Amino acid sequence: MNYQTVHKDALEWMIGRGWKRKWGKKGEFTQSLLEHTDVELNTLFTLLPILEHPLHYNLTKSEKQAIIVGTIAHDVGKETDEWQEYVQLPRAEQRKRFVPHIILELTQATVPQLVEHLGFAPEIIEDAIAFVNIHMAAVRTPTAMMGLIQSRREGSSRWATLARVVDVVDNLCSAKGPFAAMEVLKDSLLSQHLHATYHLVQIRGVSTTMLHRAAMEAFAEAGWSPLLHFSKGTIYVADSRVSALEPSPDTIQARFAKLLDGALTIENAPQLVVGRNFSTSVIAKPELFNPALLSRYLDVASTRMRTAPFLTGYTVKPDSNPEMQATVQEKRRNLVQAYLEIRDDLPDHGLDEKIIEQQIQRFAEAQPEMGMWVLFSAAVKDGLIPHPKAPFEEVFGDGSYEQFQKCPKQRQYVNNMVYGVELFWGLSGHRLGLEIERVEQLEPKRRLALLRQTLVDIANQAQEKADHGSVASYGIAKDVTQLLMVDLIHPAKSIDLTQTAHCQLEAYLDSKEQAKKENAKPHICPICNAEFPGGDAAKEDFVTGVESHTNRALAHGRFGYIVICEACKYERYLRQLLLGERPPNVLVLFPRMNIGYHSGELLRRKAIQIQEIGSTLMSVDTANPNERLTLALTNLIARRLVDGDSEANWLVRAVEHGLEPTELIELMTYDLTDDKQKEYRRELEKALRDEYEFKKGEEDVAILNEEWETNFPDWETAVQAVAERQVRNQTVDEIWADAQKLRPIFRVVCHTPHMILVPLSGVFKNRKLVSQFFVGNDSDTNAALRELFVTLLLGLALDCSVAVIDSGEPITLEGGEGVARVPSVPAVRELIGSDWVGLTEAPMWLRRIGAAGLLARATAYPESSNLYQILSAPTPGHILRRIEQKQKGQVYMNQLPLIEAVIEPIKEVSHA
Amino acid sequence: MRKPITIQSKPFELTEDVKQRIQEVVRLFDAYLDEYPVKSARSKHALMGPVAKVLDRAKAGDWYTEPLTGYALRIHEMNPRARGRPVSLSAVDNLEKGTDALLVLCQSVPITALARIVDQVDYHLYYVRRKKGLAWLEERKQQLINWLQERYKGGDEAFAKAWGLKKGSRIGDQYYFGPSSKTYLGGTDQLKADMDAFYAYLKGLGEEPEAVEETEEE
Repeated sequence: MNYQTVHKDALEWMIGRGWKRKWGKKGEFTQSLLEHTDVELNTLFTLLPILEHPLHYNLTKSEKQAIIVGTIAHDVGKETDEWQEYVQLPRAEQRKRFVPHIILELTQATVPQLVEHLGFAPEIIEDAIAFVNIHMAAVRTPTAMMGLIQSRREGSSRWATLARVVDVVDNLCSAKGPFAAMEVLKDSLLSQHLHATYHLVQIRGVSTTMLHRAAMEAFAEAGWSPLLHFSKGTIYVADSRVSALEPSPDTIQARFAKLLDGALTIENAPQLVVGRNFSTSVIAKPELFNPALLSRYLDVASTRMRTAPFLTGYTVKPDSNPEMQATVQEKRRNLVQAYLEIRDDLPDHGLDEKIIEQQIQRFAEAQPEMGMWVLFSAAVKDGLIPHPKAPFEEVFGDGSYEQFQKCPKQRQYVNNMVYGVELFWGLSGHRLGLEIERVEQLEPKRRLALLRQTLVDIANQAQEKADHGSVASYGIAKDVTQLLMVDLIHPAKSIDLTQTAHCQLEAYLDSKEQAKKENAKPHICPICNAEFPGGDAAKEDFVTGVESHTNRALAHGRFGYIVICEACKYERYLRQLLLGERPPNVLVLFPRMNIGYHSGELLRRKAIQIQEIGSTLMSVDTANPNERLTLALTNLIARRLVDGDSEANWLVRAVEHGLEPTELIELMTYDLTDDKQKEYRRELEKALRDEYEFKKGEEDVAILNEEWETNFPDWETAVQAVAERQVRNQTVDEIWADAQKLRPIFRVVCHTPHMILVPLSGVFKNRKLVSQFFVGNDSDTNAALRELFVTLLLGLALDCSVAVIDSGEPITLEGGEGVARVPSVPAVRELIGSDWVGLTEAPMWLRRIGAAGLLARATAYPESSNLYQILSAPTPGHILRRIEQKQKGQVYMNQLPLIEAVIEPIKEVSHA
Repeated sequence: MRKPITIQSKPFELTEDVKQRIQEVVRLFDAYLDEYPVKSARSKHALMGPVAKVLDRAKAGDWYTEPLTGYALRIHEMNPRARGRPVSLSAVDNLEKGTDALLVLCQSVPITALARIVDQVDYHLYYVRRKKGLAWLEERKQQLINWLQERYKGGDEAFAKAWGLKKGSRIGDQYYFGPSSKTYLGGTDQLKADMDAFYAYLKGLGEEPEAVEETEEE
């Protein structure tokens, strides 16, 4: 039996019965009937290969099929309107009017249909019906059982035992959290057939996804199969016939370190390690510095000091005011004078403009190399690479290392030039096998490459010769892993609880006083509440609001930065590394409570597929450059989602069937307007001119033809060919993508079935990087509504919980909260009435916000708050009147359903 | 020291009961307005008829059901379109019951919430009436298009010429307008003749072609 096919067919059957929009569980957590049944089916598919063994239940094919059908249909009685109404009542009222969900007639009618749909043998129907009707202990009364015994004609002789398997699977999947599920499993009749264990973690953030993965891999290697995933952990089972040992924490730690090591050397790591402003901080994150990546750090450093900005600061602009001109003149003179004085090369007749200009040009040309020297100097002086005296002097000559020691580890043009750049420029070309006298005469690009290689070779030689005891060796991944392993709650090494409690108490007693003090006294981390023996002050670079109020330190100490634990610090470093350069926020997808192995993988694959389709669309490889993706343009997404006739209504499909990745992307795709296309075409032309240094009207197509190996007759034709993607090379591709504003708006970086993290790119608003949900002059409220709209759509389409968290915010989501988290904007939380939108309200709010988006233009409310104004209108009449007032009395019939989607009008009454 | 006296002011919330009572008032006024001669209008003033005055006075207080209903009826009778058409007993009944239910509702809510409650009634009723008006116009539009299709046998060109419209104008794009509209008054002789015939056709169907004020779409 192919379980995947059965799973697919079963999903089709359940969706067909509308189970996706029906309640399956309400109480401690909420699940749709589809989710609940799907989790059970997944669990069963993991258990059956063990239980079918001759030494366990020795299940026949018919018995397996009957158990599958029984599991799928066991809650069919919940699909009735009566039960749906009942389950939504407050608990007190539920007690007064109980509605059973085992309905014999319904089971009798449904099971044969399901058996036929799955293509199973009709002989299993009787067993399957029995499994459904007695799947709860409460209904297995002596009378019911005797009745069944008497009425049975065919089927398995051990139907009562097998019915209890269905019961156990149901209880297991209804348990809230991994502990409760483990209890169910241990107390059940399956305990003698299975070994069961689990891994459990404390959620911290992106490091948690790696820890989950490490644990899953270690358990799989030890022979365990994942049974159920929760956001905090996974339950595993193994056949009781074989001895399966839990992997040790050390094994998990080793895997975790390997994953972390990979993360720390990912492509964007150097961008984060190398500081942005070389006048203040050259190596921004020394903890993450890896000598093996020196070559890439040097590349990044060469971009931090560039020729053009230097020249801008040291060029006298004829159109600037005289005072400014005098200031720049003085700056130029001072720089050159200081430089020549150090070199003892000041002309006797003093400085003239010719000498000044000549030297300024040399400084400008030297900038990228200077960046490399500054970084190299900082790395040596901070002990991140061993002192390279011998290999250094081998290249630059005796005494050169002493000179190099004077090269500052920040940007100081004169000293960087004299004690860094000029050591290199002064090298003899012949010695390096070049046909030039001095390296300075080499073409700048080649010179830069040569310098990088030279410095890397020196560092490598120094590393080889270094005594490991005296230099910092690279073991950051191991250290970070050690710190973050505290998040693994099980399996974990045993600790002395008394000692731990004592330490915690001690730290807690002083926590207020120490909260903002960087010292070695015990602290309590304001982010994770763990006690730690002193730490670093958090930087705005990785924690939002480091100076903000904390209840700790209320009355003690200066108003400084909060001090956080090392684990939280590295978690935030990792976020920056994995999620890119400080994305303003991250989309988190996670199971609503639990998810089975197959569905977990399916969810993960869907996320990856969305990423793949989306990234193609947002890259130079896009098939249609006029197509764009958006998460923020609510009206464009709502156009298809909310509008339209019922057959084509995407909302209905999203709610009742879920959407495939291609469909989701299609919903979020729109075409550029003609005006925008023209604007981008103009930008392309300008960018090409800038790249090839053409002045407008003086473009030389011959240069382009030579470089592109083309034969365009004129500039216009050449630009058109680039626009139409007929010319492809790296430079042209980059120019074209920039002009088209093609850039990814999201990336799926960390994914396990427990949690999928999707960093979202931001947009600049008033020079500040903010969430991409801000459109135009959007207020926080409007942007929050756009965010909620997209999270609701994703939550409903992918059957999971969705939240958008700020990049520095702790992830405290555990599952069971709802479909989408309401952004923490007071006005929006008040409008929605809760922190999370639940399963029942989700389609309604999706429709309401979507309809508001579609009405925004007609109502002509201020752009900053239009969605909120529409959604908070007291009656539909207010919206209607507003449209009339703003559209010269004009309102269209097709706007009325949208208004009614925003606010339900008073029911119309027919009059006789 | 004595304990400070603290008070908590809770904002008035629209309870289910209040919502149902609003719904009842809207239902009664809507039923009354069904018999008011204006079926569709662009101005809120015209569409709400005498009910607008009732709502205003209910908000001000100091009115009783009978005088307020009488005041509203007088406004109804003063409408030129209502001349010669006595108000039906059922309309009077609905108006009176609606006014009474409104006044009772107004007395039962805090004074601070009064304006909000009346606003709710006002705009809910307005929405219901406007929606009906738009539906009425949409129906007439379809009737007009069908009628013109029949008259000109689908010949858009002949139709555009007869009505003095731009080349390319289509029968299917036409909308309904009343006999006092600018389009009618400024139209060609053929337009007027056609529309007169259409109004007569509507009257034959028991409709009131003039039950529309300033309804032209721009």
